[in-house]
Amino acid sequence: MKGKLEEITVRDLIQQYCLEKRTARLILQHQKNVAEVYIKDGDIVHAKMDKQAGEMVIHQVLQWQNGNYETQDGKQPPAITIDRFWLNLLLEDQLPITSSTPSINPEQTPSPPKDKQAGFSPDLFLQEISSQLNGYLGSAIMSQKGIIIAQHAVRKLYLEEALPYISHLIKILPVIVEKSALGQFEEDLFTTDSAHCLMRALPTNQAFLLVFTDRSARGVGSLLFFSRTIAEQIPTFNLATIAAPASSQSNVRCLYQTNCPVYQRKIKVTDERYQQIKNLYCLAEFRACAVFELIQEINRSGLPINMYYSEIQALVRTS
Amino acid sequence: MQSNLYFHNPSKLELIFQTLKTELGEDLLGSFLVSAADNKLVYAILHPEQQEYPPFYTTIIKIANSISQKMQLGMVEDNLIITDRYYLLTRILGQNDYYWGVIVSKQAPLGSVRILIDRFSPQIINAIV
Repeated sequence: MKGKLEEITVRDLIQQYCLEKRTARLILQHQKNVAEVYIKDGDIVHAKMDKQAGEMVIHQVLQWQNGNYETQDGKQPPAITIDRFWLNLLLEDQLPITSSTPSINPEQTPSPPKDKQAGFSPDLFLQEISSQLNGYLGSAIMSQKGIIIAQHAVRKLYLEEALPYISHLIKILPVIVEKSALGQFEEDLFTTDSAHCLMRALPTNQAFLLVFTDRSARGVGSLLFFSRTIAEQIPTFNLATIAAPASSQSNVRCLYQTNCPVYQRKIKVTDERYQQIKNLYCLAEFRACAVFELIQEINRSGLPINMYYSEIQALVRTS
Repeated sequence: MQSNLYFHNPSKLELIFQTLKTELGEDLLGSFLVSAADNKLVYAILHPEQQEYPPFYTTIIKIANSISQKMQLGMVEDNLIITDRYYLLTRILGQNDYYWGVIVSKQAPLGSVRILIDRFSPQIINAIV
């Protein structure tokens, strides 16, 4: 394939081949310079230009704004001169020298506490990723029912205003994809005038990771890669518990129903399940959801709200 | 929406879609053009079993637009759905008049697909208006 560097940046071109784990030779031409970049199974392994070879060449070609490119799929590298993680190599040039933002490599990607099951905090997790994503605007973890499990933003994002639409979208996306025989839904990414908005299904489609980034700050490829990396680190145990449907004794309700004089008669909760809920109950957003759910339940029940006064107070106190 | 939306030139559209097919080769699963006004299929190269789904795909982009507006993020330009097997990239054409979708296998280089869509979008607009 041939094209012009005005149409695609060198960074995006290399990144695309790396993300897709391809093997290829990329020939890049800018003014009188011609460079070759070799990618093997998604890793940048060799680059050369005139008598230069290695990382130095990558740093130079990343600055090229115009010229031509040609890709030759399947071409094996004649030598190995680069052994660094490709994303680190590409991001290095994007970051200002004085930036405190860390670059990404497999060892540095955000990691939850060792004890994933009990100690995982979605709030802290989102806070951590915010510092590792250039152009980060905000993120959230949502259950399929539209409950925000955790959210974080560096500017006002009006997520609540869009909640009914987001909730609707994450419900229908996996269904439409499956019905139309396109396979299993993984991600949806829409690009607006100013932002990239990504929704990634977490295992079993019961919860979704949402990431919003400034469009001018980051390419789509990096965002997709990053979302995959971080999504893998979210323990499915907690999310499955949070996102359990109400019809199957939703854990969200179990907690207050257990404490509620009216509903505890109706719902049986095992000790193990109760412990799981208790672990989750340390999350501020989750507590806010519980309050909200409780009030909804009270409205549905038609019982006077003062019957639930102590339960509401207890939830608000711990929020 | 203007009634002249359907005064498109089928032979021009056919030519564009065929060129796209040639460019993407086996990676192309299908492509479709849907009118935003009534969510009807204007043109498509799709497996017969999949012809009923483009309006659903465009519903997704409409909801995305609502999300974007509520969150004050501007107008949606395109939407990318990723499955375990395919990419479905839908681009809004004109003033939100048409939605053009391209479904490619995950083996296809996504960046190149975007470039092709950028390249063909003006031609499609010329063919349909």
